[in-house]
Amino acid sequence: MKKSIVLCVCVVLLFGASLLFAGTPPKGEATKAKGGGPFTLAWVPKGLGHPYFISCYEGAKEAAKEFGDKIFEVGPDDWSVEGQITVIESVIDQKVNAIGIAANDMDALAPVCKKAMEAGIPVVAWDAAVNQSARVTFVNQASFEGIGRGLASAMGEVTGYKGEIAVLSATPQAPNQRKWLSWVMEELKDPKYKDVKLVDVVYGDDMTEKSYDKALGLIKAYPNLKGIIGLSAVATPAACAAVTDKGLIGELKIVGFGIPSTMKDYVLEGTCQKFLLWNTMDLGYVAATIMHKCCTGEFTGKVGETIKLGRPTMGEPDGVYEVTVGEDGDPYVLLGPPMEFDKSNIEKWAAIF
Amino acid sequence: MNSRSYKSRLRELVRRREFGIFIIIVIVMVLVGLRNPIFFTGDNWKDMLMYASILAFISIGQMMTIVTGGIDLSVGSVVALSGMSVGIIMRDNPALPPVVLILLGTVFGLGCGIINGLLIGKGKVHPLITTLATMSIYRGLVVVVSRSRWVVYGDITKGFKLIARGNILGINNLMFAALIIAVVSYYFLNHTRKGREIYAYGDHQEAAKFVGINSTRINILVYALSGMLAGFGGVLWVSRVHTAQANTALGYEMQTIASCVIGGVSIFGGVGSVFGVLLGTLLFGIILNSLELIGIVDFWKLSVQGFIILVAVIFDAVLSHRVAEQMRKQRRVFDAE
Repeated sequence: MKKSIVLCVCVVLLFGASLLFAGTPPKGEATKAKGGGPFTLAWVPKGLGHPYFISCYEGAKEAAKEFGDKIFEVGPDDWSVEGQITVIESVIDQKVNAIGIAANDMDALAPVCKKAMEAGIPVVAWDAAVNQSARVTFVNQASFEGIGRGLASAMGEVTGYKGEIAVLSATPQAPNQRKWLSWVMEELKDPKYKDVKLVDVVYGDDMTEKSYDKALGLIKAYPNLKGIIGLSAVATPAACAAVTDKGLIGELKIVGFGIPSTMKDYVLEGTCQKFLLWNTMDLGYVAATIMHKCCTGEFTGKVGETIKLGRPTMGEPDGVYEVTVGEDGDPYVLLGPPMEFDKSNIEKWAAIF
Repeated sequence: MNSRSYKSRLRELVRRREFGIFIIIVIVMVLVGLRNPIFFTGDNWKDMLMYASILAFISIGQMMTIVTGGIDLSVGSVVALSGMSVGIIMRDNPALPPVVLILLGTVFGLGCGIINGLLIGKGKVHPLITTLATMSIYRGLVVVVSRSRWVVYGDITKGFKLIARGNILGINNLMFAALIIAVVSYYFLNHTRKGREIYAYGDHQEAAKFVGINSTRINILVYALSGMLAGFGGVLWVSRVHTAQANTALGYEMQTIASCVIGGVSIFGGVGSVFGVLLGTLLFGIILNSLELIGIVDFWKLSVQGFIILVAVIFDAVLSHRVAEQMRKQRRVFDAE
């Protein structure tokens, strides 16, 4: 008797604790009224609890509020492809009106996204694409070529175009990182990088400790290493932590992707010379606006179609976007050029996101 | 005479369960060191041991649960929860001395462990199911308490950074902590009544009941200890990598379980030693942190890791089987006489 009481109390306490913070679950009473609204939008990031995706969601919420739509965020807490498939299946069952997804894998998520499209739910990819066959469109934050070449030239600049460099990436199969890496390598073929040698590419799986240990490994394995390019918002600060610990600030330069608030102190201390990122809130805002317009039927994703936003963005001051053809031949919407952050502007942006 | 006692001592050593894994460690060390002499530098060893230290004492906690025939899948989540909570408290109160933060983290871990222990000991829920559930619950709580924000480099105070980087008696704090915990656990498990009861309970739960061992208390004890060590580890973890995130230590439970199994802890309970677990974590430290040095493409490293682990476990199994055979033969000779 006593045992079962203790058990019950424990279970209730735990359950209560998780419910207390969980808020109200999204309701699935989506209205099928095309053209009308309000709509229910499912926002699916690569995973939960990452400041990058939080700031994207902020922008998406802003757009949803404008249209009076209901938007909710749901993603895998283990950042896996399988987790995302499960999540998409559940939002299809909830009969949402549109799905916005940052895909963990381009091909693996295609079947389930196709299933959503067949059920009449438009799928808008943002941040990381799913296959063209399984989406209405893709909001690309920046062209892969621009990012890849931008990172390589930033590295060249800070190292004076000579010395050994290495790349710390996320996972080997992450679509964005793969494309950026290939453009980094393409840029390095330019004769002005003839004294720059890319010695290794390692993968930290977007986990901080693993990335940190991989960076330590690079520093040990290549004593003459002059620079590390961090290809994800986890990899770059992890590389900075390793460089700080080894007392190599200024000697070993770091460029890459980062989120201003997490990178602020590394930039001010001189560990990271320069990093790139697009305006993440704009990315969420554009994607959610397109999701709404897909629901009303105003947007179909054809090349040449234009979308008018409710406010200007950093990439398009007039707030008008046009569907163009991407590097891989599929239509997409390009957010604009990436922003560069360094000592001069980091404090201003760190306060924002 | 002297050489005979030396010989018999050597034989004693070979007979120990941990000898096989020790051999593997030496072989891997020699191979990596031959490819890249940087392996033998003090700097490399410091990095490696700092990594292995946290893994070592959390694995010792894990070992106690495995010795009772259970398992603690929630350690990774407890590391994250304790690290994140402490990180947030530090962000809001930068003036708090690091010692207080360490204590807080340890208490958080202890709390998580006691909940596991109560569910398993009092509630009689299977450890696998209990800790599988609390693993998700604690992980979920990490996202909740963090409000989806990371604890970042700038939030971490100087004193807190020193937890992982400072020294006591010339030894890095992390290694010092691991050493103390290993010695205390060794004494506790081998020389106290409660410690021996843990083994007895794991060896034969029914028999243990008949000799008056209180299974509820044993369960609460081991899971509380495992949680406490994980909570302590969470604080050190954040100090080591300068950041706490929602996916901190995701999948870490597998590393602790693997370290135990490599170190000769029987997954069926009743068998395992602190020394073996230390060797297991050392092997893990070497293969996870030194494979960068041998200059193979990153894609292959994971396979190489798995391969080394597999060889270690097989080698260990063959060796211990042979030793057991030999002992049986000797016993037969002894009986015949």
